[in-house]
Amino acid sequence: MELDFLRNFTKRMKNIGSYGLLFKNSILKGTWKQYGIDTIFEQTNFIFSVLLYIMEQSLKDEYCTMDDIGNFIDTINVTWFKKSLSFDQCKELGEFIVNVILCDEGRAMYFQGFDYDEGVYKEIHISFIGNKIVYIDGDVRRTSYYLTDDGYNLVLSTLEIESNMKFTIQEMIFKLQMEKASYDKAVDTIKQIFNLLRIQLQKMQEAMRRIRQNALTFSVTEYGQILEDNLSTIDETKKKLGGYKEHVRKLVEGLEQQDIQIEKLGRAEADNLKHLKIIETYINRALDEYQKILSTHFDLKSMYTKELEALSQMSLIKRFSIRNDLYDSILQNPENLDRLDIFLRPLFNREVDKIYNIGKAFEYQRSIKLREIEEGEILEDFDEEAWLKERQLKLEKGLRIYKDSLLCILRYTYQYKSLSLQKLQEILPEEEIPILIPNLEIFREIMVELIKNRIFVFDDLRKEREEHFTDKVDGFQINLCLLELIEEHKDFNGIQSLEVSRTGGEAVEFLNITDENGQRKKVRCSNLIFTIE
Amino acid sequence: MAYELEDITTSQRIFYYLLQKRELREEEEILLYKAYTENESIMNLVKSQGELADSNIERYGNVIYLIPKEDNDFLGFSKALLKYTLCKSTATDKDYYLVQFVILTLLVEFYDGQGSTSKTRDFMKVGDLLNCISDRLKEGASYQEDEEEDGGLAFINMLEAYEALKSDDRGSRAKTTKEGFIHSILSFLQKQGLIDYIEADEMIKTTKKLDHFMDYNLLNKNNYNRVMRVLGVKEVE
Repeated sequence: MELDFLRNFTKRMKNIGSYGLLFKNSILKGTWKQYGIDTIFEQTNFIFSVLLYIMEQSLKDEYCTMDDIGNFIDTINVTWFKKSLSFDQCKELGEFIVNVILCDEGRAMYFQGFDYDEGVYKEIHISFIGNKIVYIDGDVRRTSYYLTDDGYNLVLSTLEIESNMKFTIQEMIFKLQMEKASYDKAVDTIKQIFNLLRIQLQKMQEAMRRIRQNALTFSVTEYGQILEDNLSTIDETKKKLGGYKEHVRKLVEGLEQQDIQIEKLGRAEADNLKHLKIIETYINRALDEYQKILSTHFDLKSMYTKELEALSQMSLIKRFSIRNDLYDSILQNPENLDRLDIFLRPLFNREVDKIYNIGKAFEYQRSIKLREIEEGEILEDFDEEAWLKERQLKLEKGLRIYKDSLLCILRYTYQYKSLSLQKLQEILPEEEIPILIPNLEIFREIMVELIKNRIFVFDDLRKEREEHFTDKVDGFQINLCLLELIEEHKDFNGIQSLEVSRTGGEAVEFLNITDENGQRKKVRCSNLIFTIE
Repeated sequence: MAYELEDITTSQRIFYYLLQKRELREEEEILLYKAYTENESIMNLVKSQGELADSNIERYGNVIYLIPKEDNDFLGFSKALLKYTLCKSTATDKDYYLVQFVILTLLVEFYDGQGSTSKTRDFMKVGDLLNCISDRLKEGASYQEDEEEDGGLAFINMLEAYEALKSDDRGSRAKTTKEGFIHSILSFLQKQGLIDYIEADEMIKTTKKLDHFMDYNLLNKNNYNRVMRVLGVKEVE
């Protein structure tokens, strides 16, 4: 599995860690209660208001002392929050927020972020605000607070760039990187661009899903926003990416020509070529995504209109409450359950009885499966050869799985001459278990066939095959499979027969075997002994 | 009023389609759907055929449904057939009532809203449903504690029957476990196209069809008489 996406994980953790530490410092503090602030959302709203105020002061390059902060809290409290706090209490609250929560009482704050490159946790230092000593009016010494880098990042990340701008910004970065020929970085950027397009598409699909569920949960503002984003994406993508596509293609071609005709590429150039090729594929994928966005855009529009129309109809219907009018009465008096089917009736549809047409009895009877194949052939016969070939390939691929499983048994049995399933399970390396048991159904089929036949004498089988000429059979046939395996592998030439017998004793258990539907199950099989002569 | 022969044929075709599939979706049969929605005489013809077949023909969203009336045992489930389908052959009335109660509880959990739609939740886990049923049964039983046992059906009996079912974490399908019991009900509902039941995740989601039926039909005040019948209230003229 490619784990590229884990790069820069520590960087991300720094951002998340900022939030994490902030909440950790805040949630468990009892002090909040003194000010009548009980819930986490109230706490958070206060903290970020204060942070924003400090940022504002820092940006204006004005002092921000505890008095100022207290003043600010007092203002917002009086105007909006209406907690019964005196001015002094507001100052105390400010002191608490700044010193205890934001600065953790002066202790340095660290967050452990995992570094996937080195495989260890790294300490990430985080500090939101710093302070310095200032002299107000020339002689009064006060502490003034300001936002650090981390603080800025935290606050700025709360108001993200409008989504339609993100694309433009990434596109500009990409352009610069291409100009400077730093293709390795451009690969990351074009991936970002591709992801942004992907996200836009997924946003739309999500919107469609929500509209389908209930158009009312989807507000007109959201709808407007998503349309606007779409339009700007649609407008920009095609032109710009189209241009880059051409440019990158030329660069790739140039390098390839040079490689062939002039001289072997140097290491740096080979890297560039590799990166450019990646960039090219991503540009193509991005353009595909663009096409999808375009078509989904129109789907979304028509669907929203339709759903709203349907809703306007629905709002005319008056409904009673199922809980009050029906359920509660039934809870009071269960006898009514006897007649509940009257209420549920409209939901259920019964299969109508079939009528047997006696004429069917005189039809030529064939097995249904065969007919299906025949019909398939009629449909596909415009290119029969290719189809037959494809079918053959598919069959062979299917048979290969059976053969590999049998081969696994044969190989180990050959090694030990006589081997029980129990023993096989013990000596089989972990990675070969999926070969022995590709899925539950196939394994079961093989085991059943083995037990059914009990002994395979290969000379007899060979004779049988020569004497009875049959068409190539489509499905799995254990005799043929074993025979073919022995002929395919030179080591096994000496094998005369394979005997399979049951032993008493405990059943063999294989854990975590997937079945055809991908569900994991435990397989139990009675213990067998394979003997080779 | 005179009808065109062509309209009559189309209406019969639509009705036969509905008999076969019980619903006609715009995206699957766009021509028939258009004929029904855009030509009023066709719509009336289909509706009157429906009326004769003791059913209603209604369009909810972009699907036309054939809905058997309450007393239609040919297209709809009679009580006896419902019991036969949902319960073990040896089931008593108590088991049947329990099944009915489970279905009702499921509907109440999903459609207790009073907004523009009655739907209140997106999904429900099977485990939640099991607990919910247990709680509700207890609630019902508590109402009856003081009352005299009059030989009739009591929640306490249903609760006992329900709690007697084994609980099985391994997702057994035997009907003697709670999970198996619920499983057979949910499978039935899924077969009827009312819910999506994702076994691997033990997840229950309602389908658009059920949403529509609850909003337009079952909970419609116009159909309140059904509730009155269930509750045994005689209609006052």
